[in-house]
Amino acid sequence: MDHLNLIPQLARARHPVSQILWGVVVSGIIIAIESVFWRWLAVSPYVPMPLGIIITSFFGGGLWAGFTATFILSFYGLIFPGSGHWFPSLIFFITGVLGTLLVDLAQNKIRELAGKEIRAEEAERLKFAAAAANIGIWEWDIPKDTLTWDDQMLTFYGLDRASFTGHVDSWRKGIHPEDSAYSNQILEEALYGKTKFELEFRVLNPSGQIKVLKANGYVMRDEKGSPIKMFGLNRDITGEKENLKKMEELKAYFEAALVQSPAGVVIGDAPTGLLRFVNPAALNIAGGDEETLVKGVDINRYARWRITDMDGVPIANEDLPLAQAIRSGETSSTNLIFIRPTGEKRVAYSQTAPVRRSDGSIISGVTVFVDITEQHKLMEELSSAREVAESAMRAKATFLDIAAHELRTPVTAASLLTQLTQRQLEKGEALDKNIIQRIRVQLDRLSRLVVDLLEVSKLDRGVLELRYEPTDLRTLVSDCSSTFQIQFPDRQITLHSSNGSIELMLDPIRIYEVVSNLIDNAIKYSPEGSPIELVLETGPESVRFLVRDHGPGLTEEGQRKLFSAFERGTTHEKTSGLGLGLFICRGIIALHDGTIGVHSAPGKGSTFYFDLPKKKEFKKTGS
Amino acid sequence: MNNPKTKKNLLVIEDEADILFSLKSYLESEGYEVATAENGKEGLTFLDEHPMPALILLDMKMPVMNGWEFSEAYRRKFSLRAPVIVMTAAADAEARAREAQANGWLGKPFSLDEINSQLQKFLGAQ
Ligand SMILES: [Mg+2]
Repeated sequence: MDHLNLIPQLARARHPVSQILWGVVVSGIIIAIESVFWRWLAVSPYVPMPLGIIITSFFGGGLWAGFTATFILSFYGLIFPGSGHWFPSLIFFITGVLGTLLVDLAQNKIRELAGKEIRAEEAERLKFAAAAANIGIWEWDIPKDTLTWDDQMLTFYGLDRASFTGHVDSWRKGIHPEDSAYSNQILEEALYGKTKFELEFRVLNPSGQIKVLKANGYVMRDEKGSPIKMFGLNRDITGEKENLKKMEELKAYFEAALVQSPAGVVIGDAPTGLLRFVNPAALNIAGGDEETLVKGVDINRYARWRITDMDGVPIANEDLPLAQAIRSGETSSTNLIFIRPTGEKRVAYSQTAPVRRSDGSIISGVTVFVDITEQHKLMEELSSAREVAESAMRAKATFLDIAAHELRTPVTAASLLTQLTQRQLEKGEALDKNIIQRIRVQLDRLSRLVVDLLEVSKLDRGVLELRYEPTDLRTLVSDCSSTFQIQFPDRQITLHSSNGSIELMLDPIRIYEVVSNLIDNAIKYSPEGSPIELVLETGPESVRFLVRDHGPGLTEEGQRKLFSAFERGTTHEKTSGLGLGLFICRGIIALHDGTIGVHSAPGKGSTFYFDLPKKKEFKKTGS
Repeated sequence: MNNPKTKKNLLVIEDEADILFSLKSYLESEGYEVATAENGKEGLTFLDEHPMPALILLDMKMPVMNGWEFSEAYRRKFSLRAPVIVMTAAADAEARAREAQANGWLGKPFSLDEINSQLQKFLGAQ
């Protein structure tokens, strides 16, 4: 700092005219006082004169004020009434001039001493501020090429006072080679007045350390405009540069994370609701691009985003979680459906929250989406599978109830009949053959139920085994038909079939069971005396057997339930047993790779049929 | 064994012919006057046309009109009512009896002795 003189002149003397005026004023006042108080003071008019001089000189006076007062007061002493002595006035004049000179000299000395002290203090302060702000100060006398640097400058350039040449080449040498040409160019241009001297450049210290400096300078020129002096500052901005770089890296890092986030992210500004940021994942869920979904879209005009709740009810823009977060600071998590422009629906789990400043006011709202369409589908499938399973469980439980009831009924009847017989025998009455027959019928019924149950159980567990034999289906159906005709002589049972045998590989006992079951049902569920038609049709790949009745027919719902286990198709009065017949039939036909079905409508009778594939057709060797 | 004038009348409502036959034969041999009905509707018709019997034996599962429907109509129609004993093959016989607001119940299969003890409970020794 000692090398610079940037401190302004501490105490500048007043302008001479102002000093003279001051001298006139002070003299005037003294003369006025003397004139008024003359008689009472009764002293020589010369006495106050030196006082006037001293007062004038000291209090804001200066050389010219002192001289002016001396001259005026001396002249006053000369013309004072009753005086007329020129000698005291001359003496006064001489002493006044000398006194003024003496006072001025003393004052200057005092000023100098005070100024020095203040300069040193200011310099210390400035030095401290400069160091704290990482500022170095320089001054360059251009004609003499004298460069003056403060300690901070030396530090920047990695020099000590001894190795500093004091010429501008110290600066030129310190610049990083890569920035040298450019920096020198800026200096030249500044000297010729083309630009301000303002420059960012790197210095390469002798130790190899690199710093980034920012230089500002001012060029002083003489009256011809030639540069005579430059002075200015260097500031170390290495740290700032690094911070800026770090900030930019951090910004890029978070931007990349948000952009590449697998979750959709949407940020809307408060309070405008303008969409500030929408990442590709969010666009992907909504099924659009930035152009169609983001540009100029605010929450209040979200129209291009088609969003509904889980029941498919469209959500008004102002009711969207993001809008609520921005408006009232609501935090929410909910499932939403995005309808893409293609009409495809995506289910997303969304979480929304307001973003607040440190004072709590809302700056924006952020929503995060995760596409859960597949999981949601799976959940729905699982829950519907569970419903199916639960319904099957309920059906089974109901079936068990029915089975228990159906089994108990013949047991009760047989038991009561037996007890009755027992009592009759005890009483010595004769055995009632009729009762014994009744018992037998009930036990047969029980036995059939048990067989059916076992068969269903086997089918249910997939353990029913077939014993294939080459069988003529025509003979099988014909035999079964004859048996029923004998049992029900009042029913007309006719069989329509092409002549000749229909040889197939099948389990004759099981297929007989199916045929018998279908005929039995037809008889049971049609009016007494009405005919039953049986038909055997041979197609190219399969053989069809059908039973047509003239019964009440079945509704679609009734047809659907017909073949399932544990569900009775009708609550017909004649129905007894467990209604397992058709379920067992379906199982047996399925094991033969065939199909079973019914064509029916209420009031139109029913036609039950099954198809058996011919691939099981039996080929006699040699024929 | 019994004086015909003191014979108590019973109504048995049951759709299963063999059960109905057994009950009728047994109860008659025990000295009761037994009327039968094959379903609830027949039972109500009988009650409309005859004096109230001493007791009613009621099956639950029946075509046309089942035991529940009969009980409801019976309670609605008649203020002077005979006790009702429900006969049911359901697994939870007691609960069914309560549903029908019956006075007693017999779970199928039951023995003739069990009927007897139920009758004695409501009618005293015959
Ligand atoms: Mg019954």
